[in-house]
Amino acid sequence: MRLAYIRGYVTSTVKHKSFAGQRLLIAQPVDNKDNLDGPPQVVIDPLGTALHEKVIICSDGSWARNILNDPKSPCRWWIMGSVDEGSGRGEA
Amino acid sequence: MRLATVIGRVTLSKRHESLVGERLLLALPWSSKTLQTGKDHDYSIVVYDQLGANVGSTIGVCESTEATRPFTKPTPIDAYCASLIDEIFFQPKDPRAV
Repeated sequence: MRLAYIRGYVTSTVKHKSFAGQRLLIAQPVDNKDNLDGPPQVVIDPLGTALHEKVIICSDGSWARNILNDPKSPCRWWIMGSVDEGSGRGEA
Repeated sequence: MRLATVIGRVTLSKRHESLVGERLLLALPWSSKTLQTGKDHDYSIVVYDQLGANVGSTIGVCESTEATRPFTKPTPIDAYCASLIDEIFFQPKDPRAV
């Protein structure tokens, strides 16, 4: 699970059929000082997250397949929850 | 899923027996800087493709063990092209932030 900011979205016509009807958001993982930390991930959004919201993204593919209701989905990253303002900024 | 730019094709003469009729792409995954600069990609990876991506197009690559999930029989791959990206909307910073 990683802290990330939602920085955009992508649209795709040709895709694996399990992604049909899903919002595909670009999540940029960050560290405790909000510095970029690792490559951006395209995530599915079961919660209806807003742009620039701080979220936790989770790489549990088995639950992603559960969300998409497709045991053959290659999806891995999904939004687990949105982070409260001011939290997730501890000192290392 | 990670964003990546297709830069080439790969063909095999000898292959693992599970890879029959495969289409392999050479792709550069985007790093945290690529969305803003258009360069600074990560090192290139070979991606299994069933959708028919062209050289130069942007794709969504599913990595790790989830890459093997679409297959009925066990297939030893770790990167799978799951979507052809049409459009990307990206804002590096929140315009309302103070």
